[in-house]
Amino acid sequence: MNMKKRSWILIITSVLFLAFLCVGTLVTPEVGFSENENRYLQAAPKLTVDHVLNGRFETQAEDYLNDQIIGRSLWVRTMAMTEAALGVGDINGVYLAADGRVVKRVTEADFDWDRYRKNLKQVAELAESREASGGRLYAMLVPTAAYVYQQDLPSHAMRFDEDRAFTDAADALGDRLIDLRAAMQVAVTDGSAARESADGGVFFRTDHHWSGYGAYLGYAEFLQARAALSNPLRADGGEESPTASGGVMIPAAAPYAKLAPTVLSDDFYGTLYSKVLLPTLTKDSVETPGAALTAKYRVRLNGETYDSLYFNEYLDKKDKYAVYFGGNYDKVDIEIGAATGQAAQTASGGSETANRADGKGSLLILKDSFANSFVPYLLDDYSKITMIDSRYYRGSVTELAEDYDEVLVLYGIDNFAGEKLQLSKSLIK
Amino acid sequence: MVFSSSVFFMAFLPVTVFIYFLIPERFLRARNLWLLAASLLFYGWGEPKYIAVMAFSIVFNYVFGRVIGHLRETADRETALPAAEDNAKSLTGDRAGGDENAAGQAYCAADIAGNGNRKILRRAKLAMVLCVIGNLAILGFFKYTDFLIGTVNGLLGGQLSLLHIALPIGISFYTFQTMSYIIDVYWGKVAAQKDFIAFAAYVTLFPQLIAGPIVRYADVAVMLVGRKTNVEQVAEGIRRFIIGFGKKVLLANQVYVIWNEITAMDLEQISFATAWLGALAFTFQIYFDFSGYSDMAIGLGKIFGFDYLENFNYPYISRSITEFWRRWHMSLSSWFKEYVYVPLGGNRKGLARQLLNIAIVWALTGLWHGASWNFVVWGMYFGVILIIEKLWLLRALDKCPACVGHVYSLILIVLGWVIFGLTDFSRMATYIAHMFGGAAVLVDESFLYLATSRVWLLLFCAIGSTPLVKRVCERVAARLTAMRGGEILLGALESVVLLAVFALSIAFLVSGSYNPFLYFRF
Repeated sequence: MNMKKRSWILIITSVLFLAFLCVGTLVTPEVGFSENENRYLQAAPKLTVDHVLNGRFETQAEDYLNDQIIGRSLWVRTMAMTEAALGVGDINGVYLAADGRVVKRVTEADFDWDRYRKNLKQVAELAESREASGGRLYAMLVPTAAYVYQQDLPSHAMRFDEDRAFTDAADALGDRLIDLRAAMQVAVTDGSAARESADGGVFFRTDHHWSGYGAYLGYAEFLQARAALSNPLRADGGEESPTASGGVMIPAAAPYAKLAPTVLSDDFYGTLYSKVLLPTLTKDSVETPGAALTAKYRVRLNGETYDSLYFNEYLDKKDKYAVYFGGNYDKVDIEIGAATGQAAQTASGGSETANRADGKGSLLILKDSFANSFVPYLLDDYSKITMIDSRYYRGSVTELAEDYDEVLVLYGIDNFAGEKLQLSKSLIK
Repeated sequence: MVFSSSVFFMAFLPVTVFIYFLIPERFLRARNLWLLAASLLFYGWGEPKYIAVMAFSIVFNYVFGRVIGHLRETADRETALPAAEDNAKSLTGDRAGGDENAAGQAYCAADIAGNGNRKILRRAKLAMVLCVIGNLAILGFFKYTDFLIGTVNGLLGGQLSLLHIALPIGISFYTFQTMSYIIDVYWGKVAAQKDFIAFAAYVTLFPQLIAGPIVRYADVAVMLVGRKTNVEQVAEGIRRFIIGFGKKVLLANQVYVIWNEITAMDLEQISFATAWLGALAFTFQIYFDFSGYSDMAIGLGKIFGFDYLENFNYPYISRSITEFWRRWHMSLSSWFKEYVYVPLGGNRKGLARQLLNIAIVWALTGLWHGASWNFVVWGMYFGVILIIEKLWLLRALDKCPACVGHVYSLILIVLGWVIFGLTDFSRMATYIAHMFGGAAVLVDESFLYLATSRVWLLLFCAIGSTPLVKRVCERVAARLTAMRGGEILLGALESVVLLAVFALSIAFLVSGSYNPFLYFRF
């Protein structure tokens, strides 16, 4: 049978399609930084003999074509929509949960139990050394969104045994552990999160971080734990006694609405959205306590001093969570209160102890990015707060901790088992 | 370079095809030269140093081919008429070899003719043996040295350090191709190729270079020097390429996720259902990966005017393992049959010898797949099954209803892939134990999630393993072409469907490179 016409149709359409891909990719301008992926895309590789022989040119050429292909996000979106339509519950390491929520997927095989327990032990040792010299340590491990929203996940979704992880943490840390599981689950099931905050949840729907309200729940539980450890007699007889934080009674957190939550941006598509780029997802709101926006304090990071922890230029960018401090740094110092100017100077001298003029103490936070939106709640409770990100900090945390009244270890629980943490490195030094 | 990479389909392929068809058809040598140059670039992409191994292999086999061919011709010229006739018969004779080997006959006939002849032929044989040893030495050095050292260390408790020789891509395939050429020239089945470019193009031709099929020289000898462009062949090539691309990217790569996820679990904890799901996923993955690659190779070959033999014929619908191996990686099985099994005596030297021959062939087949003992075990596993089938089971299976044969074959095939997929013997043992009653749990959450969330993918894979889609397409095509103007409609429909598959594959491929960082840049 003669099939010439059929053959020509297929040949011509295929050639046109391929030509469109190649020419289209060639003529569209090169993209430098990809907001969605939070990384620089591969630029056109340089053709040199060396690079060809050691294979660098070849690798870069492949990356270049993948990164710069015409309509790149459209391809990714097509893939995600196809998978979602076929009922695949996880794409690119992200669960597609109910109500347009995306949740990071951490399975039993992903969670490094050995590293997790090792890190717990390190923190317990740090706690003992702090307590021996009159200090205090609290550890807040934030449950995963997959745990808090487990009823919204695809059916039978695979998760690591998070309850066991919390049991391990309680075994290692005792009542120093601040466990948010109950508070967060209640806030989700009784609808208080939906009622009280603009975002309506304890985690962003499209980002791996907790929302402003989630951070508030952390703050409330933190105050409760401080009170339990610092006002020991109150539970027995209601009497006050001198405590580690300067003899001040630690109050319970004010209701969320009293803190005048303020929406910084209602146009936030977070990191998990970037993983799937599904058009069915809706934007989030970034919320922060109103008092923190007007408080007087100094922030020192990267050798610069600022009078606000809010880096508003990030509200015009993709990653709006970076409005808090502009991202993560090895060390961030915050001096709060009247004597700010002087304190900042002495801070650079490095020999000062906490400013106790107003009876408030100093706090060292060993943290990941969860702390960035949490710290604004603390501005009224401390005169000095220092945040250390052990992923980047090269000094000794154990030595540094000696200058502070209290230490708070604050991590997302899955990050706490992460390889980038390097807790042992910074603690042993 | 691999077919499923952006550099291949966005740069290498368009440029190669474009320039190939710019060269007028009458300059076939120039077209061959261009294909050779492109193939070397394809081969050296990422690891240029292996071009040297390839170049050596080409020159080595070209020279030996010429020498053996020359001796053969000299012998034939001096031989009496009957031998020449036999020789002619062998050229047109049964290509698949078989026990009535025409070449063998020609060889015997030639052997009788004269003392001088015998001397020349002995020299030809020596050259052939040397060349085969040379080829095997290259393959052995690059592929099996560390395996040997490791095995010796294991047996004698030695501490010899491994050499960590990187395996040149495709060396198992092109070594077998050149050996088929050398042996066929020696047998007088084909004339030695005098055109160096045509020969080099045969060895390096990028479509089948790195993952087969193993193209025997005799099958493409005519096309190398006298092929014509044919529109329908080119269109069929595009069709096959896109189908193969889709099989690889949309089915194999996706179903691999399941196997990968399950083997990352603590194997002591997996449930019965999860173990089987993983094994089934790997079964699908390896089929769609390999047969997809063969489809792409065959398709690309057709675009350049080569017709390769089929490599897969729906192996998972087999009713016995004997049938499975007639449908799976056919170019390898027929290679071993023709160049190992038959020369060893095949079935002509009694049952005991035949069984031994089968065992040898299957141990080698296993070893060919990889330098690790689990591949040898895998080969022997099939060798034993094939012997049992040959002796008793095939007759019994013939009497049973078809479904018995299907279930029997599938279980053994899936089990075989577990042996193939897990190189570590203790993990393999744990896994298999969990498949056959050793699991504490029958069904667990992981199974329910992985199976339900990818149920469509598994269904597509199951359907794709049968000729169903092909039959439906053929029927639609026949219906449409019978209509007036139906051929154009068919062409349009086919283009839309195939390009949609191609585009979706690209979407999945590009997404694979899409890797947002969760953490802020630093």
